[in-house]
Amino acid sequence: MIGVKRKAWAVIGVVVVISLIASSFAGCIGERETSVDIIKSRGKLIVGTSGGFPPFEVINETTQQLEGLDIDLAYRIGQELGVTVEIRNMDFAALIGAVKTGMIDMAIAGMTITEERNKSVAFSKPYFRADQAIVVKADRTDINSPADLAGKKIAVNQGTTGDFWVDENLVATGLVAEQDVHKFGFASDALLELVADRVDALVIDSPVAEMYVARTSGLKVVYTIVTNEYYGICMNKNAVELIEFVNDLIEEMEASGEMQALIDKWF
Amino acid sequence: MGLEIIANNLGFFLKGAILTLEISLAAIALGFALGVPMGLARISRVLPVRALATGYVEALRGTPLLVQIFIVYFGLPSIGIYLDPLVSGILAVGLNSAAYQAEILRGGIQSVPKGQMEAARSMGMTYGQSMRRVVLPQAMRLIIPPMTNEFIILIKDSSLVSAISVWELTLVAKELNAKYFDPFTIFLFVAAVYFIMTFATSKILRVVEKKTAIPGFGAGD
Repeated sequence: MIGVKRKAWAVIGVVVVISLIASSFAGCIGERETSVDIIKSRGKLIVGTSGGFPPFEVINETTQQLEGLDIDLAYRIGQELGVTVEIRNMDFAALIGAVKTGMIDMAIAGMTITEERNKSVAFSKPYFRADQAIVVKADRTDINSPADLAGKKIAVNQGTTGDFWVDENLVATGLVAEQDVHKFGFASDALLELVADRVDALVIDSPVAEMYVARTSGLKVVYTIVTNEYYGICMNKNAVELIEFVNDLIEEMEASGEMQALIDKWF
Repeated sequence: MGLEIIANNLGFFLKGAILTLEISLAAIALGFALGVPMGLARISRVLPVRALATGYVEALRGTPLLVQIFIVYFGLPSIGIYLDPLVSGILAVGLNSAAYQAEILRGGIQSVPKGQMEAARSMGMTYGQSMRRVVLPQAMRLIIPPMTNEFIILIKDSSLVSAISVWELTLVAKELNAKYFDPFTIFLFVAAVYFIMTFATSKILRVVEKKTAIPGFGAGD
């Protein structure tokens, strides 16, 4: 018996030690590089996004492909680089890690530029401004402001600024219990949660909230939380040239009115 | 970064790990409570009973657990049944496990030599008595190794309920990854935590297996 126990602890010890050592090296090893040259020689730009986020990235039922403002932007960058574009659809929260490790060349996913994210990755110039919005069922009359969310169940898209807003303003202050925040990898799953009446409200980026209300009957936006967020294209910090390339393109698109035309197309 | 993320969030990881254990234990219990009668029904001489149990086992074993979780959580509201995430998760994982546990038990019972039942019957015991007093005690010992397997698989599969926002270990990891963007460290650590849980399960059941072994019988050594 004692022999078995000792062996068990030894194995546990080894596993823990290996994983801790590996994790301390994680910052230095295994990261794949990305650059304009690498993308060009590969002939393909790999862009990560997280669907269910209209009108930035959402599935088109007919083509079964993602479409939207961000997707157009991705293809525009691909065109400028002279390469094809591969779109990878993943959990929103997985995008930054994917950019950091070089799994994808960039993430275009209605992603807000934040200080915290800036520590891990780099962002292009902003291309869109947004706030957060509280969405509820159209027949609800008891939720009209953030204060009304106390004690309620809330759905969010995990890792988004809406999720962080709820954590900081409602959970950390004790107004909402941690387990009453239902977090989902895709924004559309958080929306489904509200539609199915499993939560009282959904906190999500304002442009997306407007689109949901327009596309899904029985929903309304009751409050806009002015957060002044700016969306940027997320890239690896080391890809200096690529960041410059994207910034130049955004500048050019803004100067020529192409960016506004793109926004008008989707709103 | 790296180690700091782990060190600063040990409490959060622990909370997730405890919920993972709770979900696993509850689902194993539910699976056992349903799996035992189902396993007996699988070898019943009454055709409708056998057919029903076979249908259940084949259906639950033949479809992905993740899809079953979605049916329970997202699907049932369509027919007016609203369960909260934790209850849905335990229910789906437990119902799924019942199918596997039923099959394990059936296998165990059928591994007990036929002569045992015949001898019991010839001593005047009824079918039920023979089953309860002679066959099942032997079968229960035989099923410990495959059950260990099932419990380990269940603990790992409980990570799927993170998809319906249950705050178990995997969702905690996803949450921290969303905050710190360090997937390698976080998921590697979580893998180690899962390993500790499954390894302990395997060791505990090995002890049970040894303690309950009948000298000279079955797989015990």
